[in-house]
Amino acid sequence: MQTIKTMLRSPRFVIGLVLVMTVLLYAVVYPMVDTRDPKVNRLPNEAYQAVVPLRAMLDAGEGELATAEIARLIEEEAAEFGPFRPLYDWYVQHNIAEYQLVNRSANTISAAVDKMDWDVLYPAVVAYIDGGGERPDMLTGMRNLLEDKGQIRVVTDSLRALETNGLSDADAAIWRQLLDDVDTLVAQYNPVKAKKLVDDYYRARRPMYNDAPVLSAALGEVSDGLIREVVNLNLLFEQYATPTLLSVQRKIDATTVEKAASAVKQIKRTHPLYDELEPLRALLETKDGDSAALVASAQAEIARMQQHIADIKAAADVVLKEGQPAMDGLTDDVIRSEFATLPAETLEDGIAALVTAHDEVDTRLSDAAQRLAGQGLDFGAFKPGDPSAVKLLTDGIPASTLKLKNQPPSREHPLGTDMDSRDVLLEMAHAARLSLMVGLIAGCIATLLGIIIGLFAGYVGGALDSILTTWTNLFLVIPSFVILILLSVAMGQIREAWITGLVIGLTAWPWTAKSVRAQTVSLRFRDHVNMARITGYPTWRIILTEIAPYIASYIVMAFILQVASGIISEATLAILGLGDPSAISLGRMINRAQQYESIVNGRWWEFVPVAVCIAMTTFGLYMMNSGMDQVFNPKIRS
Amino acid sequence: MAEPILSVRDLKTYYRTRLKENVYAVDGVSFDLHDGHVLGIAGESGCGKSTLSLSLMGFYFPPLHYGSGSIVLNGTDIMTLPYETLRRDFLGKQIAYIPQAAMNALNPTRRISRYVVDVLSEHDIGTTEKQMLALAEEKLTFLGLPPRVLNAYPGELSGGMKQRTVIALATLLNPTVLIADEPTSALDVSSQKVVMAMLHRMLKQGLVKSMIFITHELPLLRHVADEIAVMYAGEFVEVGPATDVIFSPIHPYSHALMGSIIVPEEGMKARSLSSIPGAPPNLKNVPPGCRFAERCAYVVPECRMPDPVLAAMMEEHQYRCRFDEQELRGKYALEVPAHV
Amino acid sequence: MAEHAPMRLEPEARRGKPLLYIMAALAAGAVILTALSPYASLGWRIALAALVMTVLLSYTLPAFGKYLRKRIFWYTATFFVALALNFFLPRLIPGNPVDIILQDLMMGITDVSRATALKNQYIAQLGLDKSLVEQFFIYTGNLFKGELGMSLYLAQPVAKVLASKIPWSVAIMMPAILVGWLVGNMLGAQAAYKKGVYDKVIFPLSLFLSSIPSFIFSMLMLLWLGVSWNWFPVLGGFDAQIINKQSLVYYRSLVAHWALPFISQTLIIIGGQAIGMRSMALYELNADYVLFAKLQGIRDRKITRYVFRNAVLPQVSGLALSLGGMVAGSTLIEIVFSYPGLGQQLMMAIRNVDYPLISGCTLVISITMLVANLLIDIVYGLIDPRVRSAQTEES
Repeated sequence: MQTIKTMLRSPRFVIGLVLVMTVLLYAVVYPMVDTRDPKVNRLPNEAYQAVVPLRAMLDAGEGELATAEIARLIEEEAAEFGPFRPLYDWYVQHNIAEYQLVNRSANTISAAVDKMDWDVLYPAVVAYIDGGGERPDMLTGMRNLLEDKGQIRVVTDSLRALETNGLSDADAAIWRQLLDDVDTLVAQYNPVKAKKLVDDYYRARRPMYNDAPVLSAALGEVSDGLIREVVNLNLLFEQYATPTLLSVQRKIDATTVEKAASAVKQIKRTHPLYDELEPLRALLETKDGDSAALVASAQAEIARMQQHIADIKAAADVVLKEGQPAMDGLTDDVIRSEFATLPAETLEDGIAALVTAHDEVDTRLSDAAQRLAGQGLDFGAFKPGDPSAVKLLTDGIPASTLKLKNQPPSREHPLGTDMDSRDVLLEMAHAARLSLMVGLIAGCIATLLGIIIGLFAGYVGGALDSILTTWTNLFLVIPSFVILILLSVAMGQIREAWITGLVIGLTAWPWTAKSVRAQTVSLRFRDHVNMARITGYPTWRIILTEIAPYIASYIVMAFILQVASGIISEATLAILGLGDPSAISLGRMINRAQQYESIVNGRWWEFVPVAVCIAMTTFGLYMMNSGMDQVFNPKIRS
Repeated sequence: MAEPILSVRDLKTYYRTRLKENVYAVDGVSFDLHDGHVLGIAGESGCGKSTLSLSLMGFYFPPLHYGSGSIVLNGTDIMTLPYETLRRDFLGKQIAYIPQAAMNALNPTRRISRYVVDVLSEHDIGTTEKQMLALAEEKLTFLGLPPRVLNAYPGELSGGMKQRTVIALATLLNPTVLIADEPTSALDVSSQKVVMAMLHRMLKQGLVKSMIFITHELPLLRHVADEIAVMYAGEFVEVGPATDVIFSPIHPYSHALMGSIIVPEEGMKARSLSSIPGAPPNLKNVPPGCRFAERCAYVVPECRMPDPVLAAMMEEHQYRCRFDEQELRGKYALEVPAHV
Repeated sequence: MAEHAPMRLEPEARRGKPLLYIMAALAAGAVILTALSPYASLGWRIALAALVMTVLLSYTLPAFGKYLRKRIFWYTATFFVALALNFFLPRLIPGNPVDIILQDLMMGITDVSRATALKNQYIAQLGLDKSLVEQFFIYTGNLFKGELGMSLYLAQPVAKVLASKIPWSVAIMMPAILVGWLVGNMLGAQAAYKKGVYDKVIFPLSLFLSSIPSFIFSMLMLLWLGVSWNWFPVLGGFDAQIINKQSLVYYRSLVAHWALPFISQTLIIIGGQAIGMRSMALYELNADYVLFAKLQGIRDRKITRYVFRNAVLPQVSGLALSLGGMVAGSTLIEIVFSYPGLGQQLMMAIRNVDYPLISGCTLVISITMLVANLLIDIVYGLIDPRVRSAQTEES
């Protein structure tokens, strides 16, 4: 079209277009070149290819086939799959079907507990215990509670025996109905529902409600017991149920001397204990040497420091209670010198600040200790039958590749790897794709809404205009950012991309509507529109044929801006932690970089490329818009 | 004949485009304006009238540049003056300009009174503010505007009032020459009458000595102008006394132009409406020869040759065509009016 | 000579007026109802009285007073809508919020009595046994007492948490807006007036600054100035390891930590303002009245002054519009720098699904926006005479 040719003459438009197309091409084309799943892409391609059929087999329930395949892999590619030996053994020992049953029950229990769905709970618990799930002892408490209807029965019976003289027959029947309902629910292993029933009964002041609390209390005891069991269960599942790869990895990864060293390094020069920590720091930063001995010495040093800190805190306690005289009674010189430097007037505050500062060091030292404790944990330490190992397999990650975490750019990984050992280049392509899609959807919805509202408000005028304009202005003043957050929080975890786009679009339309309305109003009484009106065309037709074409260019520009703002909004939501946590989007990548302190630790490749990607896209879109503005709305320049 | 107040000789001014081309919007204009006379300049849109009026002020700013020619006002050639003298002694004082759309001619965020003070103080009048405002009020009343206008913001005035206020402000210092650039085209008929009456009164009372009235509405000129100049494509194609130019135009363009006026007079039904086909030439590529040649009904090949003769009929009535008056009158008589 | 009245209502706009009256009545009703309800506190009654006083006083100034009343009415209505949104939206979650909140909390709590106690406390706090509308009135009533509920995760009153965080945010935002607006507009005006090389440098630079999303820019600044060059400390509002909070070292660290977020935010604002002012100034410089004034012999210097004054006016009202974006931007900046302000608090609240705190943060943000917009509207009404005369356009 002629207009496109004109636009191409504007340098700004061309620059913007080039930028946007670059990102677009990258997002669309690159994943086609590198077809690995971004979430599991750290495997070298060959190993990944080997694991895929295995995974399919497991999914299909073909345990024996899978076992055979694992055996083959281990024999043929012993080096890489060696760590899977214990897993193989486990498979050989257990029947995969059994595992799946248990696994399914475990999932059901987990879900039931999540949703407080007591109806489903009992059968699932029974299935798990009978099916041979891990640690059945942790579930027997719950099972007993659910099965023991006896104690409730006692209460309901005693209530039934109460005098109902003052009541009418109908009321008495209601009361007895309650008791029966409670019994039924308890028989169905649902004491929580029964308690709610009783509580509602009480609040509604139904017949004999004064006697209800007793029953409620009894049921409450059961409920509380159940809640306690639930808590225990959560611990269980955290340890044994199918955790995500992440937690497994964390167990392995959070365990280097380097990490311990970095924890200690965060204690700054300004802290009074800085000098005393010197030996520890020196230990941790030794490059060579026997790591076991190193670890041992470091741990001892940490223990000593922490003891010292405990002493200081104890002394601080004493001083707080007894004041100045206690200070003089301090025996330890070191401690006394510390206290001596406190500003005199604010003893309490000074001590409190001192304690806080030392607490912080204590935390860091504990951190370091923890990390040292895990040193040396390798895959072989996983127990056979540990479902986490199974998960690991189905996600296909040999231990050797775990070393790829947080690697700076290299030949194999041009943009490095992130905290989950994902190849940043690939991950970013997928992320860009998702972000662009969300931005596009959001832009479409926002522009569409804005156009419709603006056109009708501007053209029809009158009462409709007043309503719509007020509505628009309302949402212009209340920051859309706020509404966006509230909506996202209310919607919980949004799994679908298009829903995110929808939500963003629903909050972004106001300024488009306002501008479209202004344009429409200026066109409303133009000659050609008046002619159409006189000729008797229906309103919708006038809007479509007489007004819309004139604002077409403007609509396109508004759309471009909306897409840009949609992308930014999506990133904002993700950085705040809203939206789908498992989806890979540009914002989510930044969010993770933030959480894992990549910025501060200088791991620029984990967020700078993403930032550049976003910046290129939005800048490109704004440029396109600016270029179009130049072409369609030429201003007088001197 | 007395000395003309304003004497313009061969004025040429051009626009410099982004691509470094020079477009001559005023290409060799000459005329004399005498004391007490109104010169009407008529022509289609885009023929260079507005540019001419700006050029006459002597005020050039990019992309409009001065080419050549002289503008002599009250004996001084404006183009030889330094800008500061021009600004202080001439602009607004001896020659004033009334813009076409008065809607935007005033700063919307300033009261009229402040504007008055600004204008008057820039010209070293040497009066106090009170005197300035009194002067302004006098002028406003004289022109039929209520005194409250002085304290108002432009936004509070109606279209017609704004136009009249602008006229009043332009003539605060009683300039010798007043250039009115289409002062009535944006107004409704009743406001038009008022404005025309105002201008007339100013002239009569000697507030301004002479006026240049630019318009594309020919009927107006009949009542207002003493002389009429017809402008086409940057040049005057005919200049002469008003009645002569209107009722017996010589140049084919003027002839066609007057023929396109719809005047409610006897016999009008019998006359055909003639509009002039074609469009004015692109001033970037000025054709050699007569510029009206493309659209002229009587064109001959020689017309397209460079340098046609400017045939002078009488001292006061000039036109630019290679045919002389007799020939042209003969051709016009042959036109057959269409019968209803 | 008959003169037309300057501004005439179009027939259609007149039809819309009854609607405005209805809205006015509703807003007035809402205000009065809340103030008179048994849950309203002294704070509410004082606020209502102040509102009435302002409205009454506004009658002393004719044109500006009308504008002022319109704006006050409008913002009051908006305030209630914002309140309602902040209240009702989070409560739209399907299902019983107590359970959802509980399950996350339970993870960390092994002591059952504490668990049930918290559960009951929360139910009581939410007043979930009362009707939603009733809850709303209680909420608004408490609002003016300064009670915003209890934070779930921090087990502290929301108001107290917010009060400690707000100063940090304001410390960055206010100076950033002031400096950014002033410097940005000056640069834009210069670029428009001087043109040439000056313009060729400023324009692309400002365009770049205003097109990059703010958080990206601040991340890059953090990386560049903070980590690579180590000019500024990163993370936090101050050095947590300094014991003496009265010392010079402490104050120095406060400023050092404040510097980078402030610089980032300011630069971004400068970019946006410069672009806007430049185009406004260009537009004004080419306006008809400039030409007319020049032709009347007024000198350039004087004209320029008025050109810029006119160009600045839309910038003032533009400031109101861009405030919304700035709030979002500053929230993200705080997150990037881990600066202990409102934005970071909001993010933590979201992470912990701490509904009262989330509501509290968003409410404070909304109210701040409304107040800022109202103030800017008032200032704009005072300085631009066109606003006072034009009363018929949109509300």
